[in-house]
Amino acid sequence: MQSTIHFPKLRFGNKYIDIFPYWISFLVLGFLFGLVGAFIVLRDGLQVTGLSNRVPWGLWISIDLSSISLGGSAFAFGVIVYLLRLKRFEIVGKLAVLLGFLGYSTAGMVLLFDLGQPLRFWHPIVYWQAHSLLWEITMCVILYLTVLVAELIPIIVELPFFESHPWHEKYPIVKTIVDFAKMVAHWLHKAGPVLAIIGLSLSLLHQASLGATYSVLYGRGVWFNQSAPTQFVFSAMSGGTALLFFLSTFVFRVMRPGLVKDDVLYDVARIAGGLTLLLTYLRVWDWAVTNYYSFDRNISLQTQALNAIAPYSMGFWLGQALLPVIAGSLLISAKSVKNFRYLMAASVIPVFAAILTRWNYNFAGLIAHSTYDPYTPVIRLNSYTPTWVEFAVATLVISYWLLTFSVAARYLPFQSKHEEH
Amino acid sequence: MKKNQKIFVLLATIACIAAFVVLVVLPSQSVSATPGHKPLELKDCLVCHDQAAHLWEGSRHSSGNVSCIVCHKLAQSGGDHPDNAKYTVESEETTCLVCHIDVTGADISGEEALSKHGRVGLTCISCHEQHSQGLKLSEGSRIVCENCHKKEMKVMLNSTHYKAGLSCVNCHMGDGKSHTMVVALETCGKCHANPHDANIMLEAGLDVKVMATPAAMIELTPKPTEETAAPVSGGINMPPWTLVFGGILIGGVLAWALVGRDPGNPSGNE
Amino acid sequence: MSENIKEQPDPEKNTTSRRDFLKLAGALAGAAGLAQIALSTMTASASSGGEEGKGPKWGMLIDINLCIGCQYCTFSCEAVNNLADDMRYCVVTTETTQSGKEFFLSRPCMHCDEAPCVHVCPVKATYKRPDGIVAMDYDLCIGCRYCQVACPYDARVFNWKEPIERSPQSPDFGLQEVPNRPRGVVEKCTFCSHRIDPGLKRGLIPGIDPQATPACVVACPTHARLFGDLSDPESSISVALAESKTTLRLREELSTEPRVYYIPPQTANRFQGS
Repeated sequence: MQSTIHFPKLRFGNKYIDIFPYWISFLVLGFLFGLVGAFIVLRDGLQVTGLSNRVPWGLWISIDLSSISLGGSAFAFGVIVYLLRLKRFEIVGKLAVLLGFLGYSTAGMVLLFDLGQPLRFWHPIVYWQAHSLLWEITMCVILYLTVLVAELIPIIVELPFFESHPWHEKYPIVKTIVDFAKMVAHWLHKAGPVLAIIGLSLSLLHQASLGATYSVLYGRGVWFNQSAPTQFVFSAMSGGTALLFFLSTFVFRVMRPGLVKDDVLYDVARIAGGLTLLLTYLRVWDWAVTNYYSFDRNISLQTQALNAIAPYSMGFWLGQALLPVIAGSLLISAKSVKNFRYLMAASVIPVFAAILTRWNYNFAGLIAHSTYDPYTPVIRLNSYTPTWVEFAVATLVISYWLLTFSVAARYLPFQSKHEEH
Repeated sequence: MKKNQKIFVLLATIACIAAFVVLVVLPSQSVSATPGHKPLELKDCLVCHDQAAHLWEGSRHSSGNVSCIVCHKLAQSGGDHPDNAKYTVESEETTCLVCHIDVTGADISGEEALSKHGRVGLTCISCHEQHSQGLKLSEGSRIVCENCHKKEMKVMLNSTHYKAGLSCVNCHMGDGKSHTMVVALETCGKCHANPHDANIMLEAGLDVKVMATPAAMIELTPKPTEETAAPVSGGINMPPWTLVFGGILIGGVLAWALVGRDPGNPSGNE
Repeated sequence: MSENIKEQPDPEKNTTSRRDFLKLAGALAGAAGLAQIALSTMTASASSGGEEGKGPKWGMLIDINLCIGCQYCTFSCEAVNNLADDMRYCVVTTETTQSGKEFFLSRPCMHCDEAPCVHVCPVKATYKRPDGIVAMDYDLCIGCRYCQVACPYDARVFNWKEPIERSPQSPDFGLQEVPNRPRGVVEKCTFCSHRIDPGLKRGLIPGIDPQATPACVVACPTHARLFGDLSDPESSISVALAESKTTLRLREELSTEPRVYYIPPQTANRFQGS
């Protein structure tokens, strides 16, 4: 049953070179570069960033929103595997749990840097302000991360190390720890459906409240949008599932051929495609009624100003709507396309769309601000230029993501020995 | 006995000195003390209010022995500052005008206010810093007048008067330091006794040219630098390399989708 | 004498005793257990409108016709709160009416009754006091800047840098009266609550006695600003509000219920939203 793990190799003449060590060293370099930036931020505070009182949220918040949205497949597949009892998706579901964990831990990391007082990160846990969406988000991130870790432990325990290793005899303490971990994993495996339900509700709540974070801010342009929470949920599901398809093709078709049947991967692609088309439908309606929400004079002026500059213009909105239609149609007809190269390329588009949506949404209300003249308000545009430190921290979290994923993809056994209970 | 005598003389001397101190020095210090309370001195104020006291130290008030408690009056009930006493300036009428009635009588005191400043409600401390009595906003080349009279200052900065080294107060206050700020008829005459005598300008070291018209003067005025309005154009400025990076990423995927190998057949597997 | 000095708010030395006390209190609260905190959360008022009841409700009235744009309010605020020039709580801008007449708009924190910043703060660092002041606890603030994003009036500033030694407007416009805030927290106008609270204890009336009145109101040379108790119909601000034919609040259509009122320029017609 144990299939061999292949890793992409490059051919030089007659030799095949395993690029894994080079890829890992490249990521470690990025990680170290990011650590420099992280050190500078923690030492000097947020004055090293390009943020200002006018644009207080920038690149990091966009990365935070994006990474959470790309972990959105975890809850979608939690439902499929544990609630709908679709056993054939179980192995793909494990990858989804890993992606969810990565998305949420990345978000937590980047949020930590974004705080003015990083040492007070625990304050929301103690000082409750249940009316704040940010409080809800913090609690959801913490609780859902716990759930994801609980879901991840049984997968990690499948590693050969936990089965048998010379150290078990050599160091009794290792044996104790391994036995304890196995016991915990067994419980958690039994509690899988419960965890999935908790995770589902937390994650759904959370993805929605990320959108609501902005849409309650009625004083800013574009943001006051009642469909934002729904859109964030569907965008996360579409982008996250598309990413899951991309990566599971890589992990289960290239590296572990034979572990997952192609039909399952086609089904993942079809789910991603369906969600993408649904999202596009929602977005078109949202775009059509944007002006309806701009009931306030200042806000409609802001919307007008935003429509005039590039990333918010109508052409962009159309592109955002049209490209996913192509990608979605391609993905939903995966069984007739049957070309994994096209399907993988198509699955990149919903991923980018999810990132771009969050990027745009984050900046939309901040970039155009109106003056406070009660008679003749004017729209002024704020500027934001990220500094190299911000990019360094971005590199840090992105290389963390890729590093953990690469190592996990190579070493985690995705098939379960306890499959037949 | 001699020893006793010595001690007696010593004691007597000490007593004399003590009496001298008590009679001469102490009364002068306890003049301002409220009965039943410890007299307050400048050094007591310095304990907390050293910043204000340092401002006062170099001022005219300090040379005229106008110390803290002259303006910051004690309440009738007593002076156990800071809890109960209204240890504070009550109003300008009972504070500045007590001494400065000759200077300010014409412009601030109530209905007889003659100056426009008085009419819109400006008081002494609108322009003066109360502890140092200096003018506010006067560090560097700033001048307090400019803060409100921006348009007038614009014209002034290109005027002949400004080049000759005159400032607002030369005409608006004159030698008598009148606080009405009114330019009297005779003010011009002080310099321009003979309006056609150009020597006075040459003496001031001016390069005499054909006089500019007022409209042209306003055009010559430098653009205000401090009022930097928010940029008309703006947005998110990403460095160019991010575009290149994104382009390579998207282009790479596209190129691979078009001409690449199928992911199902890993190269090392064959 | 020495005891008296200790009780005196010490502007020059920035005593940290209050902060230390709050830290201790925070630690005790943490040790007291989650149950108590959860209980206190449940019993806490859901609305940001503060507790209804007796007591003063502070408000401000700014007469735009009297404002000459001298920025003394801004300067005195900077001096009293020890702010750098790029961290102004109160901003004076030049605006125009529909007929093109220029006027000056002085904009402090509005101390809204339905303050968006209070609703969004994840840790209750900003809260509505019963007297209507939107105050901040700088020891709770985590620096997430959600309140800054939420504020429709740009009334909040973030401490990007370490606090400065001395404000450029000090001593011309007053001396520092409140302790410095640490780097990495959001801060805002307090209606000079450090003057109001001790002033009330001493029997002074905020809005009349300068020691108990916000620095911007005291500094205004033309008396364009009025401060006082909105709940007291006899107070000068209530009388002025009743007398003035029209008053105006900024961005009223957002229903934030600001506590800062304006008397509009006489020639202007109120803008009607579409």
